[in-house]
Amino acid sequence: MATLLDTSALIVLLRRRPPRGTEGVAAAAEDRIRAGRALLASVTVAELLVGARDEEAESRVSALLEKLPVVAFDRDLATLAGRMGRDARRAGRVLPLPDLAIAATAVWIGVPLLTADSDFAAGSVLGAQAQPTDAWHGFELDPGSAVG
Amino acid sequence: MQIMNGENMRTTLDIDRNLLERAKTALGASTYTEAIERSLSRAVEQAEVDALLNSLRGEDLVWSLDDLRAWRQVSHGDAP
Repeated sequence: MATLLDTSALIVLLRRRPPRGTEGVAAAAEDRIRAGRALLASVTVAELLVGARDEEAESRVSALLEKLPVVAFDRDLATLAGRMGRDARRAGRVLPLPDLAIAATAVWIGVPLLTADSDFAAGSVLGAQAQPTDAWHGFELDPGSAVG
Repeated sequence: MQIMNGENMRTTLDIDRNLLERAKTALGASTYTEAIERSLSRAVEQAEVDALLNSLRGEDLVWSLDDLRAWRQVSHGDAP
């Protein structure tokens, strides 16, 4: 089964020493990529390149990103992200737009999200509590995630 | 002998027939040529990804997970 890689999963993979507690996320990200089962949300491409050290580093990061399928953030996904943000707000949780775009992408294509960002713990709760007609229905984390 | 025709090449290969049949079935290829091309394409793609992952230097990004979280929170205040 495919997995959507959050930007945080790629950050811990790209660092020489992943932060304590995220080693499993880095290993899972590498495993999913090598197995050809990794997908990206388009916002992740932008976020990663914001953090590139210089042009040479950007070139190396881009070379890896070009090997991974990217799900475009179109009108349908924007609508779903908006509905998920609205439902989260009603539940007393505010999620940044990049998080919503990535969560919506995972729900839209029906795959789990691999992440090291603790903000997605709230999304995991919303997904677990969602009814079939709710925007968050189907959102789940890849078992390799670390959001504690 | 090799005969070049545009981007394609005709040549003679000594291939395990059983392996070729398995590849044709597993890959859903309709011809031996398609099975070989798909197999090569996958192998090359996999090798290129492996090489990219193995070349990671750990210094390509200037930010950490905390930087990412902070960046994501920039435009997000308290829940209205």
